Amino acid sequence: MKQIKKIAAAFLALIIAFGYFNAFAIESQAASKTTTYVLDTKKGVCYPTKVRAGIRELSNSCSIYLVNEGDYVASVKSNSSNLLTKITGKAVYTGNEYTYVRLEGDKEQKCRSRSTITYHAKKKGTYTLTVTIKNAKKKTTCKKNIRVYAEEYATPVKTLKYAGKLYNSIGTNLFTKKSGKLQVVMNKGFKLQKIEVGKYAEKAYKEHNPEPVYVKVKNKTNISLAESTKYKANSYSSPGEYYSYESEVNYDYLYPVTYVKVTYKDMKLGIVRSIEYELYYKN
Amino acid sequence: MKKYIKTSIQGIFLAALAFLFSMNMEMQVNAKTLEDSQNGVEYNDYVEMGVGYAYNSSYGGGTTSYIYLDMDGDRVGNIKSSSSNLLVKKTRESCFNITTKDWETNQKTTKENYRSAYLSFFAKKAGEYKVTFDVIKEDGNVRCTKTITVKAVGSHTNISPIKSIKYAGKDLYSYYPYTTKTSGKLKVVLKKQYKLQSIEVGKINKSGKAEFKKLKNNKKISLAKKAIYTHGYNYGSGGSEYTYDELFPVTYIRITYVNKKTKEKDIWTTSIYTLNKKQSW
Repeated sequence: MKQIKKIAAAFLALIIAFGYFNAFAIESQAASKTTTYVLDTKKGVCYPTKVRAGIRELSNSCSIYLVNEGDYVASVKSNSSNLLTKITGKAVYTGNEYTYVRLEGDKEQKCRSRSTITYHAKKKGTYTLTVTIKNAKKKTTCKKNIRVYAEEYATPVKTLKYAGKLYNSIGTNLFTKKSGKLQVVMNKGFKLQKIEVGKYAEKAYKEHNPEPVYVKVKNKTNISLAESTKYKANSYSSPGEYYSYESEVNYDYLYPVTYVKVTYKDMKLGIVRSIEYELYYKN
Repeated sequence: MKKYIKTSIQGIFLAALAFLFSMNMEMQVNAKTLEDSQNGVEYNDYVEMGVGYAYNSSYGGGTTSYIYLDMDGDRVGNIKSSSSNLLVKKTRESCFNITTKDWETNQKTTKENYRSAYLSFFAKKAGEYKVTFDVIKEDGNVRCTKTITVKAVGSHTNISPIKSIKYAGKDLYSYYPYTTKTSGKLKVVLKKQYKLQSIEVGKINKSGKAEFKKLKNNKKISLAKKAIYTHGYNYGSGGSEYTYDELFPVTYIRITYVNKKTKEKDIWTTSIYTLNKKQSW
């Protein structure tokens, strides 16, 4: 029982980690499309109509979500020998367990299974993947096409520099300058829309969850990093008839954190997304 | 239900670890949990981390150890590091007030001041460190003292000990992004200030974990030709099953070496991928 709770908690935690703390969150903007995932209500298939691939990357993948129990992704075919593809993962949910996919307008669709399609483009170009879905009786229910746009890079941000120093997601995220020029360079095919700089206020919560306060800045202008490590949050509160608890969380960071949120338009996929970076100040 | 809060917090930690692990194998984040039920303390007594990198800001900007205290009013204090090369700080402290109502008797019980804390670590240099902390009672007296072992490995120093690494006669990186050559001699030459201690080759086993085997230098290795693994959960009311069959099976090469001058031991890891187009289902 303890094990089950731990797993359940881990899932809950993932949702919290992704949704609330915004550490790696990809956020949506109301006015533009944010996802290429669509739902075929008749066949019960959620799939992306368009995806990107970087020609040097081995981990480009997307997921096919199936609403109906027993349905499965039987095969995936590529229209070119320059685009390698395979079904690399399957997750099947039973009983009260489901997998969820987020559709346009923050709609959530409950599904019975999720298949991962990995693809690798040897050359730049536009390709098509054809996915065949079968039912429990092994009869083909439908085929879906996914357009793959393969470019040099599939990642939106080419470089992020602060005070002349390059941000590197696994190497450098500690900066010693209190203020400096922030410069974002996008990869080809991505258009920069907005840069926001976020810092925690002393009481950093909104509806119980810690949330930084964001200020819009222009590219290539000076910003200053957060200097305070201390803030308060009220992260959990669960009033119920038989059980309730309240909590206060005091934070005192090792290094003050400043968030840089970059909002961009993916010109190929026609969607708007955000990516967030964490810059730490080391004095 | 108090247990649930605890497991949720542990869950966040585990999930964050899992996420980081999935992002980059070389981050070497690892932790072990120890429970002392007599003193009501549960904490990560062993933490493995990278050098010179601050991340996972939700817990304070470093690799963390989670501490849960079972006794009313207890708190974590007197935190000490064995070396100035390992920074340690209490970066997060939560205080819970819990009210439970018995559904049969309708009697309310309120418990106050349950605490949990996160200690964050930041390593300036690779090495093994000890961190001690006290569990302090409400009256100010020390209930017990606990020790955490923190192992920092140099994955983030960006200084490679490698002079050359050859697989089947060619530079390992010439096989990037993947190779169809599945076996050949592996030869590692380190820069002169380092001494090679061991070479290990890791492949993904049936449960999805990397299994490492020691290997002598300049010997033939065979790369992973497939990576098929599965795991599942059963919650009673339902379940889930995950199956994987990778397009690019990974083989890890882990090199342990010693800096001849400083005697510091460090680990350097790299990956090589093969192609497996065959669909196993």
